[in-house]
Amino acid sequence: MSPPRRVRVVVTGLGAWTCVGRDVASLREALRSGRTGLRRIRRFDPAPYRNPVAGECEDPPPSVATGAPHRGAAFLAAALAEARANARMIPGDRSSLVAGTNFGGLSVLGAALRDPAGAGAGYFLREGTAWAAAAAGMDGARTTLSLSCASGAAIVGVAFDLIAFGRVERCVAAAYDELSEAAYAGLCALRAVTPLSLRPFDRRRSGTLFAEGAGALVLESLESARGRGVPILAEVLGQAINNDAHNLTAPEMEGRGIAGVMAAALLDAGLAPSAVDHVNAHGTGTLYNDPVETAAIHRVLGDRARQIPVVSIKPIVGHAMGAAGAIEIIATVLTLSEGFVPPTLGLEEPDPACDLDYVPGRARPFSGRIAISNSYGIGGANACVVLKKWEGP
Amino acid sequence: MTPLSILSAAVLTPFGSDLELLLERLRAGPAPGDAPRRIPDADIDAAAGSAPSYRDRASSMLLGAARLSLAGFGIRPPVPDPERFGLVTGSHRGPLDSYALFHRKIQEAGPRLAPPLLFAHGYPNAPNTLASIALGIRGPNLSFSAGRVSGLSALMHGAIQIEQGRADRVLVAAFETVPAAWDNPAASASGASGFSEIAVAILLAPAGDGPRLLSVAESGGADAALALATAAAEAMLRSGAAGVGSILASLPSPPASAGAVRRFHLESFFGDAGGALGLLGVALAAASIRASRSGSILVASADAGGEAAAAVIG
Repeated sequence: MSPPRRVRVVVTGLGAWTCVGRDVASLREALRSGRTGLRRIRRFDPAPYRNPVAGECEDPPPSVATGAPHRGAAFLAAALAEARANARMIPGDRSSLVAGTNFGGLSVLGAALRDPAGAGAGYFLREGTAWAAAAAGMDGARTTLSLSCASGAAIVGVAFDLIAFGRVERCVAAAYDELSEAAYAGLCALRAVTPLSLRPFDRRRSGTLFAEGAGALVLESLESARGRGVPILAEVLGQAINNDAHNLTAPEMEGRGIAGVMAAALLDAGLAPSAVDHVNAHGTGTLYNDPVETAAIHRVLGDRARQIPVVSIKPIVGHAMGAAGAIEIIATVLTLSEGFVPPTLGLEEPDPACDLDYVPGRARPFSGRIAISNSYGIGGANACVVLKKWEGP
Repeated sequence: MTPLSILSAAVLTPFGSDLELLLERLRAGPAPGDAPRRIPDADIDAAAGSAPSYRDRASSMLLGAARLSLAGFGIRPPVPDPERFGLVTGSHRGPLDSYALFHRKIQEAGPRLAPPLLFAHGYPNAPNTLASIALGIRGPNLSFSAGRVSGLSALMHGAIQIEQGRADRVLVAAFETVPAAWDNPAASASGASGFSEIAVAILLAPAGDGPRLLSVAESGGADAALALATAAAEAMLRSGAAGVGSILASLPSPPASAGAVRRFHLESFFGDAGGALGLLGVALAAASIRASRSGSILVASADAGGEAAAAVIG
């Protein structure tokens, strides 16, 4: 079956609620300056856990959060409101919503289990999405996707497909997660959390540090954006989502799935590997992710891999679980539109198996046109989105 | 949209897996109040095969329906051309039993003894992941949760993977368990627990012989009825079908009159199987059309929150 003709898809709005601040401006400043939002956990006693440090967010104000089924939904509502305001969207405009989350309302699971009806306590994924959509005045079609820590990139891919092939004109892709004690206990039990510092691609790396937050992107057809007269921030050229089909918790050490998803996304975008100017990496700082991702980037980009900046922003914003991919794609849009690559903090002693230009130390000017953003999740979920600097039609 | 073939459809229900018998059940009228709500364990085990270690009931049900659907088209896992084979799933309640057990363990033993296996099996997309591993599916992979609309949401996004050339075949599946936490006398006495279990899997491919997915569309809004009507109208418009012979609906309450068109409220027959009912409707519609070789059937789902979707099978 030959694919139908596509319409061009552009990004016209961004929203972020992260551990470095309550909006995209805060995120931009933190990425430029290399300011981290990781600090000692205050919301619950971190003493029993592998590391007391994580990326906690400020609570959204009552004007946003009142009535939210859980904090994660409030993060989502805050990010949606900012993105929609930036894109000059109005309530009741029938725009669609593809939401993403890894854990949804896990923080209120106890209440849900005590409720004989099971529903209404806010645990189910659709409840957070429905509440945040209503709070943001969104009345179009909506669904919720959960693809572990690849959720935030996958929603952008799904929203891209809905627009590119003419099902909808506008779609907001937004992802969130809340760092509940239950989620943190589980992530520590999986030994994904470092007991030390987060150091992606460093020889001393020993795990990641988790965070919470939300990221939202307004995607629309180029025709819609022009018709509305809104500024365009970047163009989405293609995407791919796949699964390693390997193991529920153990990584696939050949990197076949993550190389495959990058290659498929570039094919989808109609680009040669030599066109890529930047990679916003998954870069978790775990023992296995970083060399496997590095090898996959080598395999897909060939000689180009050594010529371009490859960064992990997780030491700045933490690993925001289901929201991570959305926040990283927002960072990639900022890289393209504002001409800088953020630094990979914590990288001081390069690992010989991690031999790319990871931009250690401080941000750097950037003049490239094409960037890709990688996200992976437990169970082998992989997603890759290809973006282009907006230079006019 | 370009019509797609429904190559095979398979179900696991408390009333068995024979779609012809389930169609007879629809024609006979709603189930009595004491109808079974859980799928017999033996049916799930026979379809899914033995688990190497712990496996959540939701994951077993999904895997069982998926294996039956593949077998219905003569595919024995691992699937052929796995990078071009997709798996798109939908579930409202997901693998809740694993998270409930995890929650209980950390309440009892403390967070230092949090069990990683239960935690990993409780991820909302864990059933999808485990099915991907067992069946060797490495192509497009998505896991949706949209209340009662979960199954049809998965159907739409599964169809998109083929329409847009991302996959040659896609297994679309939906599943709902009766979570153990709500399967007790107190829950039943509250009148709130009409939960039932169903798992469904259908295999989609570019159009060929047999029943076809003519269109599928989503809508939404604060007014669920309006959202449903919009989704149904869009699905009908996209399908090119002249009319529908019957309507299979998964709704919080029975649908209003549809004139001469026969309509079936799936909850009245199968209980609250959440997001699986919409895809069950698709499987039943495909079986009906395969038997009669004519007509078209509208399958619709809506939730009280305003999610809505509809599909036309012909």
